[in-house]
Amino acid sequence: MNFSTSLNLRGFSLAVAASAVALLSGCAIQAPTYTPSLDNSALVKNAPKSVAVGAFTVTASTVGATSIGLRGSSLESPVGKDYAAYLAEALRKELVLAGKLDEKSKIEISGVLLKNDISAGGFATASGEIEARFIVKNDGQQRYDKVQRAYIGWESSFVGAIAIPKAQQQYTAMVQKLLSELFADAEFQKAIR
Amino acid sequence: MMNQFKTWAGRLLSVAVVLMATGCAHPISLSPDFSKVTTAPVQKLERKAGLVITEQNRAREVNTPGGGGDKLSYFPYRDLEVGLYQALSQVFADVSKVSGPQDPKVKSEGLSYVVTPTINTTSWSDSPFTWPPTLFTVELSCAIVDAQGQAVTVVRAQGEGRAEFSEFKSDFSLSAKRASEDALKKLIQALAEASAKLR
Repeated sequence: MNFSTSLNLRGFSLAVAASAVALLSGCAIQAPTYTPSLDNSALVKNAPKSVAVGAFTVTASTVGATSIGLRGSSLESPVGKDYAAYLAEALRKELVLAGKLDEKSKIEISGVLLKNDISAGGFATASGEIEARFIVKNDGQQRYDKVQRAYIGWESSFVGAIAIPKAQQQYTAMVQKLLSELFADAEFQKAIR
Repeated sequence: MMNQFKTWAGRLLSVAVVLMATGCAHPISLSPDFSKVTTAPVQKLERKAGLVITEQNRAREVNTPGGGGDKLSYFPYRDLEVGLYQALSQVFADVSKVSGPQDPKVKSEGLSYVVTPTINTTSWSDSPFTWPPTLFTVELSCAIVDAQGQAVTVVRAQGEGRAEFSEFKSDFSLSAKRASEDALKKLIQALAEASAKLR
């Protein structure tokens, strides 16, 4: 093999490597639009009063504040500037489905997103964890202040083209579970009466 | 020698790409934009209904064909649960989720009917290179029984959704979502047409 052949081979190898990188490299994708859950709405459907959704915030240093890393891709919120906006929108959708959203209500739910992460690096399994502090005020008086968290796991794949969309789809289920924990809390149900 | 190497390397790369891309089950969602699941107003029945979607069905993962020899994977009952609830809510005075006619909620909430849906789907793509479906169908069959568990009627609706590459490149589930929306709208109409049996 002479020098020029060696250069050609190196160039071809680089092209092959570049193609592989192009096939595998990450990009920004959006989390799915939140879908409310019938089981969640059933937990608040019989509440005597409708409630409003107040401000939901997240500090920039919080894990998953604006994007979640998925094997080099980043999962971003389809609403607002960060995942606090996603959580607020998810809560609104649950309350709309239950017929309990009234933005003029004196009972207001606000919150702070504390953790928002998906671990999709595993070849066989993946998991997600979300944590938020929820505050309920009635006519300005604080009635509830508690941290709720949710953890879910699912079967994954070593193939990124399968693992990444699967993780993307599980995000909604993770938020559904967080809101289920909130709605099922007897102290929360008492606070929104 | 260089040409021979290029040929073999090219073949190896092609095989690698094909192995990476085929034989996979790509996850998609059937959940439509629920704000679009409405029809012209139908006269509501003064009856309450229970909707049965078991945990076993919610967890049921279905695989159907996509393009290029790949498969699609999705959870039809989980994805359409809210859509079915919304469709029934447009026809019945109130809808609750129940486990079946024996659920204590049937009596305590005064439900007149219990609706158990069955969902069948098909998918297809005319593309040998891209996996998202270009044609998707959703068939809904709702078995309706009274509070005593006696069969009343079965209401059926079938929806179809199509999407071409230029459309689905930003939403791989597009044809499935369109099929779901179409099926749910037709279900509302079919339930309204069956209202004589449900009064």
